[in-house]
Amino acid sequence: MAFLAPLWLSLAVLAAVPVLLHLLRRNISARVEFPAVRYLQSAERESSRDVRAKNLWLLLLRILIIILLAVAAARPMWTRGEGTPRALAIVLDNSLSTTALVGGTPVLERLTAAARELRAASGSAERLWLITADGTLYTGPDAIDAALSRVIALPGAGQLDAAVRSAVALTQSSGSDGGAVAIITDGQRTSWPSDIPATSARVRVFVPSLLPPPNGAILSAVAQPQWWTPRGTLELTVQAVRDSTAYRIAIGDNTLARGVIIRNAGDSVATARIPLVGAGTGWQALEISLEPSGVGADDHAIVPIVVGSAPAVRELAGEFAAAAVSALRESGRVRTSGEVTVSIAPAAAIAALPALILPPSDAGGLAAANASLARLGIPWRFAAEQRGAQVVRGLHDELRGDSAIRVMQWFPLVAQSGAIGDTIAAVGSSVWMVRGPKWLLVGSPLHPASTTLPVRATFVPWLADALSNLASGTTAAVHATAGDPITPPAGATALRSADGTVRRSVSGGAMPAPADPGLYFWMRGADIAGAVGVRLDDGEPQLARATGAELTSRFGGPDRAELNADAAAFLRSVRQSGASQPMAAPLLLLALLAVLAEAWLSGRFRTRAAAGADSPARTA
Amino acid sequence: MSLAQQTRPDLIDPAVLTALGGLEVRARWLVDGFLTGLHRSPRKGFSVEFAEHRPYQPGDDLRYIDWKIAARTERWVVKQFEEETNLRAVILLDVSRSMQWKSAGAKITKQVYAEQLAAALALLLLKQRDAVGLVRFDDQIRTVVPPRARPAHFQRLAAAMQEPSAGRDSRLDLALQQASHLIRRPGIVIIISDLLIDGEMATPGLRALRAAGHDVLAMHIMDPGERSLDAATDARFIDSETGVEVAASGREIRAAYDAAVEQAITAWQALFVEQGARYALCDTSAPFGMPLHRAFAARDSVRG
Repeated sequence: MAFLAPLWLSLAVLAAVPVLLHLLRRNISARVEFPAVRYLQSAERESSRDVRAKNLWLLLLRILIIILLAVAAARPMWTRGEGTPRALAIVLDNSLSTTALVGGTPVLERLTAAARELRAASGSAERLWLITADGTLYTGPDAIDAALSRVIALPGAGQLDAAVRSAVALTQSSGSDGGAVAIITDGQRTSWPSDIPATSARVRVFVPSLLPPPNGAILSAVAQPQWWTPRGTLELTVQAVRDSTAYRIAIGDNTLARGVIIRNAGDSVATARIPLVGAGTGWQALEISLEPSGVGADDHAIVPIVVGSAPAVRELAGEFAAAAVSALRESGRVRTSGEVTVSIAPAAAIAALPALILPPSDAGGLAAANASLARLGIPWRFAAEQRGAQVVRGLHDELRGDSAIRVMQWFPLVAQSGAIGDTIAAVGSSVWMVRGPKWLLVGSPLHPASTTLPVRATFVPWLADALSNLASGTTAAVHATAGDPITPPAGATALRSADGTVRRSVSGGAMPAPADPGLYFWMRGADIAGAVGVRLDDGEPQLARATGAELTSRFGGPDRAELNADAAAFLRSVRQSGASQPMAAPLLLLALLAVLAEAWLSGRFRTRAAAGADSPARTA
Repeated sequence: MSLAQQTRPDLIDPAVLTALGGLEVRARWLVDGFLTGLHRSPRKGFSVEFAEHRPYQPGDDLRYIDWKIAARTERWVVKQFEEETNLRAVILLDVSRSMQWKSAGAKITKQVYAEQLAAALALLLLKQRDAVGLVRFDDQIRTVVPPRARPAHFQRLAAAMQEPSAGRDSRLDLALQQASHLIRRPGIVIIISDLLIDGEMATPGLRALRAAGHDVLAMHIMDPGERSLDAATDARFIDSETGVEVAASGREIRAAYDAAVEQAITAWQALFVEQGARYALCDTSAPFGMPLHRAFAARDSVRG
């Protein structure tokens, strides 16, 4: 016999109340003078046996009623020996946090071992399911055995709550009274972020009492700029478990840098800007590794960069553009001549792509500009000149947070039939900046009288990235968490991994980022149109175990969940759960019968007393 | 019930009656009312020796009207005779401590009721020219008043009834024995007691009295609270005479108690009848008329 709410058993102490009342009643203290005591003695002799028997029965019935109610409230489960559950759904937590090493062994190995024991202990004739943290369902002993032999950790927290709901639904739909849900987890708090809606099922949870190790992790890694010539900078932010965190940065087998990041006293996060010199040419995966700690997977990150010679720039866009290009030349980000030359000029002055294309300085050059666009094959046109102060929308990402760009003069960009391109910025309801393969159209001349863009501090870095993208024919690389929605650039036809092993077609619109972390390319036919760096889940690297109370509350409280830290006890509990039957209803029925018996017995004696009171002898 | 019946003292609530006047006065009211109910003059007896004339009163036997005087004076007078003493009666009055008890709902004790009944009986018998004696007893004989037939004897009887006593037992056997000494020729012995004694105690005395030709009437005085136990009482019941205690719940034992009382009443009735005696149960809440009738009937049967 087991109890789901054993605290209610404390109600059984109320059984002492009728006993006390019985004893107090017998200890009558009132004294009454009564001369006819001889008749009382005679009556006592006649009725004492009946009265005592009745009182004893009433006492026993009342005690029985209270005890039955207390036991029923404690929700007893009757266990028929060591029977195994007829239907068993095992939820195995293989989230990223289970890769943490405790005592040299990954937690996932221990969890998997517990699942294997449970699987082995279950009869082959039972209905058996295994659900992993990502919701994958395995049915039947053979499939489960195979899954357990090759289970690996997910890159993130997964969807354990959905897995538990599926498990409960499976056991309930099996139509078996002896269904059980067994959850095997490391208790990582981020794996159980919210309460699971109350179910009628009681779950058994195995949470080994393994203290999570300190975990270092790469929280962010950003390459600046994206085009390395071959120099560049990596801004690396880590969760530090010690005062210094060692790192290694490499491209392939070529180590670019080794060093340590020092954290400030009291901080758990440290950031460093690391200047690097890239290796190779074209798109490269910058691999960052920290010294191994806790969860191994988050000790690594991949950042996409482009390595190559600085692009050559031909600038015909006025003094502000000229000053910015001059600054970039001085820093080596652009050159005067090279294999690829990017033009910065009004449309009429563009002879070939790639180019950053500007409108004419006044409406008079509009026709020539549009004619030039047509000649270059760009499916966009400048519309009639507009004047008036307006705020540019949509440049937030492009300008790294600086969105306070205004325009005073602009030529709205109008798409032609079959146009492709990524709208980057807009003024009012008209397009102001749009990007296509090898071209970038801007709706205002780069002059402070037309727009504040060239006089903002972010202008030069933005221009450097824009020129790099134009030179490489790609969009800027984006970073995404596995599963997050990502939007393909204009004209993209596929997304493939850097090593070419994974390729997904693009059907337009947003799509989820790949589950496996790494470097992916947007493909435009055979050309690379952009890159996506997929990183791990942000929450899992923060190793923090939920307390027993927190986990219990996730499943609806102690009535719904039984937690075990001991594998043997967990196994025993699951085995017994299938053979358990709720006993509350039969006990309540028994209590009702006892109440009826008590009422009948009391009424019977009252009736006898009343009959005696109205006897003919009294009224004679 | 007519208005006359309501105002007759022998038919009103004993509690109301005992609140009016002293024992003697109440006894006279009772007897007057009782005799009025019998339609018989209470004034004189009707024996064989002429005593005097008196004016006719309603209820007088027409046989005793002196027709000669009526014819001569046109006044109706009846002849009175010096009545002989008809019989000798002894009242055995139990004055033990148990007689001084009354239940919560009762207004008078058993002893008050018994004394009032004894006084009325004594007066009634004296008015019939019977000699009346009194024996008061508890655990011993407290008072012995030999039978006399003089009307003034009533004052002595009444005074004796009010003497103090509170013995812890009722020695009816001693009282019966004393009665047999007081009356030599056949007479009547009236026992007024709550009979909270063993029946065996009374049997020899009763048998001796009956053998001597005496008639015996037992008037069993009971409080309503003794007839039927109060169901609301849970207590330790104490017998003030014996000190015996019994803890009981009124609700639980009431039926058995009532049965035990009825059994006891039946047993007493059987015992007296077996000995050729009469038995009357007197509830202290009932008017005195009924027991007086029973006693008067007994007296008449003795006179034959």
